[in-house]
Amino acid sequence: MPKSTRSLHPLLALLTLCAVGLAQWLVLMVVPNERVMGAVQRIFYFHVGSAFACYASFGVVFFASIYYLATRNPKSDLLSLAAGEVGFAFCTIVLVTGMIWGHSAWNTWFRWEEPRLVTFLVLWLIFLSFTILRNFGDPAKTATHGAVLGILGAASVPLVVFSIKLLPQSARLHPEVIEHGGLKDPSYWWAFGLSSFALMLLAGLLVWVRYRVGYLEESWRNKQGEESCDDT
Amino acid sequence: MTPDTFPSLFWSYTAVWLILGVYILSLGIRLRKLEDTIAKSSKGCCDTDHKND
Repeated sequence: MPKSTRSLHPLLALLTLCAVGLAQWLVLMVVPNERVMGAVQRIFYFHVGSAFACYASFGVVFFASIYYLATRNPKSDLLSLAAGEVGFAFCTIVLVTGMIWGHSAWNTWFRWEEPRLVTFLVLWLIFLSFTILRNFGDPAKTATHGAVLGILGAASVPLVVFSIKLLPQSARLHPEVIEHGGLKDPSYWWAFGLSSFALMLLAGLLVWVRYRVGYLEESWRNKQGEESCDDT
Repeated sequence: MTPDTFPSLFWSYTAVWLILGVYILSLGIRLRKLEDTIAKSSKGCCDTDHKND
């Protein structure tokens, strides 16, 4: 790996740490309590920010997988693997925080009639299988199979985003906070913007670290292969 | 009156940092192990090269 890319790592880590710390301070100490839901509304900042980070990671999976299928470039396969794994971690965060919020605000952990919840669960299951396939599948085939599964999974993201329109507003539980201008206090917007930025930055850093792990593993495997060839 | 929903907030943030912490820790351990293995192997190569000289 080039030295210039390696030196970027501590700087990006420091920037991410500052952004996440500042976002935490804003969310927990500055933003006022929401009138109806109380303290639990503060989950919103991490829930939506994690959703943005997860969708962005799956976007990377989509383009890297298409590029891999077209060119068979191993670097794009590594990028797809890294972004898929990180995206899955953020997807899990969205699912868990959403369920806790739902239990507190709607008195139910999950509602099968809600298209947003069901489509998101399907997205989570697709990327769960992607992660299992990439880590435990047949090494000769996982790159191609993973790329196809990654494209399918990432292509379902618009369905998750727009699924909320499938039910009339009176029948939905999941809110559309931003679309309906729900954040009145300016500090809400600061906390929301900074949390989303910090989580996207964290996702970017994790993708970079996971890519590096994959790159080193690949180089090590190739080196071992070359050495065993030399021995024979 | 605003309900007391602080326990939900607490468990939610605990879950977030637990998921992220476990993932970051596992990545860090994997990266450290790999870098150590590669460093040891390249050091071993250098040693055998010197011995051969």
